[in-house]
Amino acid sequence: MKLPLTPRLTSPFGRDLLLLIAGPLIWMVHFLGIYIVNALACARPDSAFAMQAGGLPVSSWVIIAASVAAWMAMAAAARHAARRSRRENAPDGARFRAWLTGALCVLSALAVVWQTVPVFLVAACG
Amino acid sequence: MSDNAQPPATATPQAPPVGALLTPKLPNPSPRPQEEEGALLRAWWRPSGWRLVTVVDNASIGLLYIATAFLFFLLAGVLALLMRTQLAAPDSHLIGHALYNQLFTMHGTVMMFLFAVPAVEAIAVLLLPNMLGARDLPFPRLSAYAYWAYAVGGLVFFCSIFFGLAPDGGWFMYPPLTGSQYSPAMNADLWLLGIGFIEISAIAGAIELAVGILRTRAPGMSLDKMPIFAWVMLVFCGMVIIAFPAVIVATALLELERAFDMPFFITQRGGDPLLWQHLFWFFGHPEVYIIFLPAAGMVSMMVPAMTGVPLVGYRWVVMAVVGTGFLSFGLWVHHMFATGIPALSLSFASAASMAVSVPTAIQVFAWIATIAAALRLRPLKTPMLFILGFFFIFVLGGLTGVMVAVIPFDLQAHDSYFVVAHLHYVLFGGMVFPLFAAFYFWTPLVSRRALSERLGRWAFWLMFVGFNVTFFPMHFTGLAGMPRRVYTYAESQGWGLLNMVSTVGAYLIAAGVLVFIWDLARNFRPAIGRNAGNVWNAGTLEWLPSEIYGVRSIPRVTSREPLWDQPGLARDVAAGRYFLPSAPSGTRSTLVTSAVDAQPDYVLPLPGPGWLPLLAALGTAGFFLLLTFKMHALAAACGVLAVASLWRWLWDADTGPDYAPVDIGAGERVPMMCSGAASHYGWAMTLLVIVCASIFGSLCFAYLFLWTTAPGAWPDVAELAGVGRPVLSACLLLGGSALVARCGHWLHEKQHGLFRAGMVTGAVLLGVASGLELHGHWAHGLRPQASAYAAAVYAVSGLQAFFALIAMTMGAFTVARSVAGRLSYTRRACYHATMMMWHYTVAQGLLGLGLMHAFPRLVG
Repeated sequence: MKLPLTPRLTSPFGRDLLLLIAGPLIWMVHFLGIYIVNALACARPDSAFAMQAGGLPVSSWVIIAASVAAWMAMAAAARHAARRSRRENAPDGARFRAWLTGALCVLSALAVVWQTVPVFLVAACG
Repeated sequence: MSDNAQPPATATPQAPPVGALLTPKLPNPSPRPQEEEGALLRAWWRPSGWRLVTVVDNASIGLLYIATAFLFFLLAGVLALLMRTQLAAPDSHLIGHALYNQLFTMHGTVMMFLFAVPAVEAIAVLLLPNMLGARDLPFPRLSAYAYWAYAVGGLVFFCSIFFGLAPDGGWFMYPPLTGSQYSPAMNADLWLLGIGFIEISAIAGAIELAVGILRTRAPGMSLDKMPIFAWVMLVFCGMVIIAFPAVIVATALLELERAFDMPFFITQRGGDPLLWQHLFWFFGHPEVYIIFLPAAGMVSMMVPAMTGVPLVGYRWVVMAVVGTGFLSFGLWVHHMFATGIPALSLSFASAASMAVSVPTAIQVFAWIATIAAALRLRPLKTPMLFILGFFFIFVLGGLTGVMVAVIPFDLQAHDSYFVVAHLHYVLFGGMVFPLFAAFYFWTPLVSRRALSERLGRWAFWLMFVGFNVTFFPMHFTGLAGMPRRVYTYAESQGWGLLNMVSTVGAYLIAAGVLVFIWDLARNFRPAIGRNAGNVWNAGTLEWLPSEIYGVRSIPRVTSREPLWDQPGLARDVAAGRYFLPSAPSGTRSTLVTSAVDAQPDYVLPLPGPGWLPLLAALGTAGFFLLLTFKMHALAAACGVLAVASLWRWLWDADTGPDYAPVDIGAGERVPMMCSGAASHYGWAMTLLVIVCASIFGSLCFAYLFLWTTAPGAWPDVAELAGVGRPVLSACLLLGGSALVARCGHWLHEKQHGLFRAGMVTGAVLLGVASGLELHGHWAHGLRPQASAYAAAVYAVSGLQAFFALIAMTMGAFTVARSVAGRLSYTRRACYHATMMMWHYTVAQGLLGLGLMHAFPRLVG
């Protein structure tokens, strides 16, 4: 049986917070992911990650794909926040949160760009 | 008490928010009944004399906290002067190499762990409740516990240098230098155990502050109206909660290696010293921002007050602060550029180092724009001088930061005095200058007199000139090849003049600090409730007239600078015309509001002075420190004292009569106290669970890292233990968790017998599951000393057993309260907290089983 709570104390903050920091959260997952993929490719030269394809190791293609996925996820989060701010009934606070979500997504997207560029410039395990 | 807050004469008034137009009437009528303020004063009485050590209110604890942090700043400063004196001339033999090693280790350790982080937490404990319009933080005894643990533990830790026992492996304590082979004495143990538990104190403070910021804001103070300092401290708390567990795990692993020969960092047995560096810097780099961001937040509060205009680009600054908090976690590898990590991996950290400069620059430009729009700036007051000094020094430090983020340059400057110069420009410039600005700015809030402008200018110029004379030449000393951490150098190396200049500068800084201390002695007269008042004509709530109980009534906020935009606010608050102008049921209390839009939720009764936080802190500090000296019986006694004090402290929590709902004003009747996930303790437990998950995550990283670097130490699939025991363990864990969840139903149905039986059975299942797993490894012949793999397996299983023990202790406490009649469905906080910890422990156990049994089979 679900324990009842006083209705007004049921806070949507967790959901709001997750949306607010969606951009940097995606960036963090992306950063850890690409770091691990590259580390594995270099630590296990016989693995599939280390195989060459199209002039780059497979790990680098995975990193590029992860970056594209991160940008798409950030764009979706920003779009969702903008839509919610138009729907909600508290214009000031909701607009502020939507702006913050979007701005953080832009900043995080920029960080992902900078982290993806070295894939084309630096040897994976040099 | 002063009530001179006025909007700045020529400030551009902001349009009144919609809420203010709709609610012109104040929440409570006046004049207020005469006995009302008397009841408040009685509820918030402060003990005097030797009983002062029992205080728990944020103003008293905050002042003690700041004073102690400042003491550590002075002590670590003296160590720095000793080092600079030694280095003033070549071939000096004033201090031997052994003591010099202890000096630089203690200087860095004390400045980072005992001064910088506690100082910003201390400022927050003192200021945040006032800034948010609250009467106190939601867990005052936790603040007191965190303070005493830090103060007692820190002072004992510092005293080790007088006995030659101070750590000497550098403030980041790299193995193998700090392993038992090269550092067999207990100096390293003192660092590992001493700093480990001071981190626990910092985490306790962070949980307290985060819940305070999210749940005790004045009505109407929605997220977009929150002071920047509150935003910054919220990010600070999140960073502490995620980053500090990594160093706790690192110190625990190194101590396990030193004490029980579990070879996490010993290459010959499959360990890797780089594991320490990863864990340490995953904490260590965010630590820089953990120190810098609060200081930047203070600047964002002071600049508007000193210029008379709201902060330009408020939302940009919020974005920058949140963005910096995250991006700073991607920088840990930039401390490891010279360790042979793959080039592309280094580039990721280098790119993140560039990215983090974007939000930092946004903050700097926002401050410059605010100053450019100033309505009142001249004559420059002392806080503004320190802020301008901060701009100059920090920007220079940031620029050299961009330089060392470039890998080829870093390889040249690595471990040289260039790095010493850079880190001091960032940390001293980025944290100490804003802190001194804050001392001058907020002293009128806690003192009958403001500090002297004349002495303040002397202090500033001596420190500013002294700092640059000390550290600017170090860039050249480093480029000339002088490595850091050498106790002397030969005259032929040509570093003598630069070092002499740096030493003269260091004494100039000391002179500036002495002038500040003289100013304190002459003018600082602590006075909670009879302060000098709003001498800067600032616009934020901490400048409301306050007494020992905080604000007379809790205001409704309609802007970011309420004292500028809400005429008569200070007068109406002082007259008790706003919310909660009384002490309901004669107790200390504050208003809890919703996290997003700050609407009143309930009134939270708060505890008064008591001995238990102090006793618990003494027990905790004694346990860890005596363990270092191998005094096991005394350490155990201290551990028992700590647990008994915590037990007694919590025994009285969430008890007493069910208070009637309270009329807080404006026709709002809210409950007094609340149970469930949405209550303040539910939030605190959620944060605690995140800390636990972060600890477990760091340990999982250690396990996987060792697998990556030393696959030879991992057994073949055929050599692994069978899956029977882990499957049985998983079933027991799930069964126990389901039973504890069912207990909630029995509590609701008042079936207390079933409730107790369910909790006890659940505890047995949890304990058996953990024991089964540990015994399984032992019975299979695996010994923790055999290899890094075995050590990692026992570390994961041991952590699970430790968490199971905590959950079982919480379960025993819950049952004991049930037996004593202190647990009911309306007073179920104890059960709820236990249940959250229990479910987390089970989830961690299942993941741990997967890591130890499924992962090797999947990759094998």
